[in-house]
Amino acid sequence: MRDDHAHRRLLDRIREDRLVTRRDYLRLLATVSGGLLAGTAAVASGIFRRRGSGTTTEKKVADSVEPGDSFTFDYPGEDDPAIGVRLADGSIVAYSSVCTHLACAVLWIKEKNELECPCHDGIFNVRTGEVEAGPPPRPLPRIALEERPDGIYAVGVIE
Amino acid sequence: MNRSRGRLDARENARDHSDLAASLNARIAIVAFIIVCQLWALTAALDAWLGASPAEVWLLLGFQVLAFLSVLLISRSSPKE
Repeated sequence: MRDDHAHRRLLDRIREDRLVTRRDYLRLLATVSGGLLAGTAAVASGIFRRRGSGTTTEKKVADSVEPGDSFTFDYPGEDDPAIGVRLADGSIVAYSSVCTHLACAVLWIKEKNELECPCHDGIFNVRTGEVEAGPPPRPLPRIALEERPDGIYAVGVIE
Repeated sequence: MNRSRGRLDARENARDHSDLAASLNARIAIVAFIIVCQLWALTAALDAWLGASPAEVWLLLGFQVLAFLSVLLISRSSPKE
């Protein structure tokens, strides 16, 4: 009789432990869910700095460029490398030179008339910055330029 | 008589326990599925943020809030012993 009672108590304890474990697991999952919510809130609040964003003050980036040539500069911040190209028709364009795939440097290939990321063969349209080939998921952020008598100025980022 | 009553109680207890366990298992499975969706939403939100689509980020944040509330509701409404 006593053994029977002890046996039943032991079974109850085991059952209770199993239930507690399941409930704890549910609580743990709820905490993970809250963490994912907090992570998304952090993204939405802008805690992660987006490359190319920031203050967009005017900055002189080059004196003059010949058609077909490129020049590099940092804009809008000192850690935001950018590339400018004067096209054959005389117009001038500039983009962030950080590939939107894995942040390699984008290069101007004059012979092919395109911007190319050599790391994974990403190719961007030099007129629009749109992805033409390769793995980059987004176009290059465009930088607005203005030509003035004393040189070429970057005046803002077009997203 | 008492012995047969005892057996019936034990069977009912076992059935109750198995129902409870099944209910908790189902809740865990649903919550795990919601969390997988939340993981996707977080990566999509980061991608949208980097792609300068703030409207999409806020939409995904709304989804995350709904998902978290659902998880809370499911875990809070789990049956008590």
